[in-house]
Amino acid sequence: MNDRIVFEDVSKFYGEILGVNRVNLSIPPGVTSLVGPNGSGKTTLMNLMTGLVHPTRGRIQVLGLHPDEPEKLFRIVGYSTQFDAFPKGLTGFQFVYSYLRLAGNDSETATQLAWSAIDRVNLRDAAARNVGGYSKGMRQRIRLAQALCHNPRVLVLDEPLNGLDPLARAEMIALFRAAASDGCYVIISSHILHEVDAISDQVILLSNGYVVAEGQIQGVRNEIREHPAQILIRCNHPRDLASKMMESEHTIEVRIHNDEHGLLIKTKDADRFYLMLNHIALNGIEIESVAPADDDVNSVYEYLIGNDEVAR
Amino acid sequence: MSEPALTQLWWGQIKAVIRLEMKKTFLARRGLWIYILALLPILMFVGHAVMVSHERGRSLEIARQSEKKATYQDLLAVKPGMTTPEVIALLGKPPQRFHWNQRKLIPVTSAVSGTDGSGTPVNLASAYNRNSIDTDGASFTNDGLDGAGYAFSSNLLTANRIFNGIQFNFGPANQPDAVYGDGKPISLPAGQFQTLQLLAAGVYGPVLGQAITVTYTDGSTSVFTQNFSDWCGCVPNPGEQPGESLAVTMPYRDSRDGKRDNQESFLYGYTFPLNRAKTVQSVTLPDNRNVIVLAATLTRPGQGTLVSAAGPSFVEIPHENYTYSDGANTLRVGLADGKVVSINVHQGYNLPDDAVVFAGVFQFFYLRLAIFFGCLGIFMNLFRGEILDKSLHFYFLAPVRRDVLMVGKFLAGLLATCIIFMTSELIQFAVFTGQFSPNVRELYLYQNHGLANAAAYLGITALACLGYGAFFLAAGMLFKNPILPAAAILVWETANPFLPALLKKFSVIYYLKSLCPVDIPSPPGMPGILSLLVSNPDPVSMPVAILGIVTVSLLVLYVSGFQVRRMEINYTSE
Repeated sequence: MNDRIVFEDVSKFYGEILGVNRVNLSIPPGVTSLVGPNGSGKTTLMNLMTGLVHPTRGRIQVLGLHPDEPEKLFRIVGYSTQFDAFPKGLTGFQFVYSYLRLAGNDSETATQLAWSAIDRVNLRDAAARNVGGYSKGMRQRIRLAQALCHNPRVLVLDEPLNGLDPLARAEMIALFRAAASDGCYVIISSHILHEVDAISDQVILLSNGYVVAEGQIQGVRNEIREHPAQILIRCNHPRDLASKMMESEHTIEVRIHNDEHGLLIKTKDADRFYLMLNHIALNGIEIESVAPADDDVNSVYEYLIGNDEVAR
Repeated sequence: MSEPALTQLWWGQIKAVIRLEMKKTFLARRGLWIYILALLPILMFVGHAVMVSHERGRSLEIARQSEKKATYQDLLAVKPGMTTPEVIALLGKPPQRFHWNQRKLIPVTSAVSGTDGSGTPVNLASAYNRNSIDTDGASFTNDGLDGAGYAFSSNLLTANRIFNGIQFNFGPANQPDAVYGDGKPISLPAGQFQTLQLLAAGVYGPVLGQAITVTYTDGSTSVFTQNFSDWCGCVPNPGEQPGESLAVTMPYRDSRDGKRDNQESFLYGYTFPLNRAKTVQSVTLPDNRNVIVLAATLTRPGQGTLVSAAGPSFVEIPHENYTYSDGANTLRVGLADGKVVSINVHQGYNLPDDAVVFAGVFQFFYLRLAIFFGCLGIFMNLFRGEILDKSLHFYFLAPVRRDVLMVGKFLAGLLATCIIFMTSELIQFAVFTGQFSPNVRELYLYQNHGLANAAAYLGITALACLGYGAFFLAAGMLFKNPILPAAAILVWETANPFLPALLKKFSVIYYLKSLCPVDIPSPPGMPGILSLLVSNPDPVSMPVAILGIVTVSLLVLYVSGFQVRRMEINYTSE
């Protein structure tokens, strides 16, 4: 199975704590989303396939390579982790460049690839600044640049859209889709179903360390559309934004945050909401962050696959 | 990939790791104390150099000012007991002289037991109102001399004393035998006398400004004002009141329960000049219960030795300190009362002796503490520090073999520690040799293995960084808390001299000690087991030592290679 990412009866325990259990997967090219609430095992699955943790039991192969051979694996894999720490004292450019040098590239090639990756995540202007001074979104983007810089066939992205503003989210989603259409394997973890809907070709649902469902996203998309989504927005003029949002028929409820710098919106159509938000962002309201607040994926599981099918 | 290409790739990756690690290692805030460890011996040697320079300048100045040019042998020729002229004859007038006078109490020898003194003792028996003298071992129920139950020992005081040739008779022991004034006159033997002399003391003294009145037969009087020192040695400055002399010093006194109280006690002499033209009739003692008179005697001209009224029993003993130098060594001679009483030869600093001191600092501070803990700080943090910073995944996500990564990190640590500690060692050596004159320095460097020693110290420093680095790198990967393994390694290294021969070989210090170029002599009298810490009873040859330390280090790194491949990124459990 040299054209698949394969998990064969993989379990991982951290002492007595379960990471994932009896996972059997065969992941094809395209965008695959690992979906599940916090602690469901998404990151463990990603760390297992990249060799950052070793399975307690079972076998993993990434396009025929073993994760415990990083010198081979990371020539075809790029991993953007959730770990928000960087080697000290590096600029954005140095961060990507150093990674490429570690990979064995000469200085010229490393420089060229680094700038190319930085351009892909739209961070050229900030590339000379120390990563320590980056905003959360910029740090997310430079991690993506590092994962992308050596043009890997497999992109593993742990919550890649966290902290990004709406425009950047749209850009990144386009980037992932482009990579997938080029034949890449893009593995994305998310606990936000609407995000998954916009990106994925297939989805793997996880809960408490178990794979509870996997399949084509098309089948669940319509169901998701009918499920109201809650979205938390931080911006400079929440009341203006609230009034604009209430003009939309798909908005069910808007609540202004006590500090007058944010609002919670409940919408029937998340896709249309995001499109509208992009339009608003281009017309004067500074949107600091957009974060789906609907973390209760268990309820969505029930909604999607029925309570009886949530296997344990 | 072909083998040369693979080697080239690995080497390129190692260099990339070193580049990343060096900046971090040199500028890490948590590594600041490592620079302090490296700086400390430099400061020590700089301080020493400043002191040596100052001392040498002083010695040269003293030698330059000397009347006679002295050799080191001349300095050693001064012996205790020599007189001032003899010292000056040998070394000339001292270029530096410091003098002072010591005020010294004259030992009481003037009052001796006996009955053949001169003078006319006054019989005070009719006025005795105080029990001041007690036989050793006899208890008494009265309040004693001081009202608190203490009295003079009759065994020490005896019944009579001759003080300055004058006879004094004491009352009987264990019954009233002394007088405190109550305002009533005490009759004196009729006659014309030159002085009235008393043996007396103060209680709870000093008792100041007490009036003593002598009445003559014509009704006229001579009034004297006198201070009385306390009789007990527990009160400072006995016998120092004007017109007062220490007559009898006794090492103990008796207490009312018949026991000795090991407190010195004193009896003082007082002399009052009388009008020799008149006949004395009586004396009235101070109306004060704290002035106790034990004996009184009248003297005529020519009787006894007249003691100056203002002459306390002290002498001024002249002291002098002479300092000589031959330009390098310094002699300090202490003279008291014209005789040599102390000699202190301070040998000038010389390179061979200081080389031993340098070796001691290197072995016992630099090697065992500074480099040890410096390596701990740097090598432990190569992996452990990044786990704590949650940034180790950066390396683990790169297409680099984990063991190649480990070698890169180790070499970065080695390079950093070598730069820090070898630079420090070089500066220490430069400061150490720089304090001597160019001739002495060149002689040491080129004729007495100085350069070879310097090279050896640098080599040992590098090997120490290699050996300790390997151990601490492994410990940093194996243990979450570096304190315990560090303490274990420290104990293991310290206990090395006491280990069985086979186990000794699995340590770093065993080989490093064998490579040290200068032997440090054990201090005289040091127990054999402790001298093992200083000396090396079974050193190995240089090639064996170097090979040994490299082998041990490679062995530890080889084992670490397995560990690094097994490492997982799980920051939450740290």
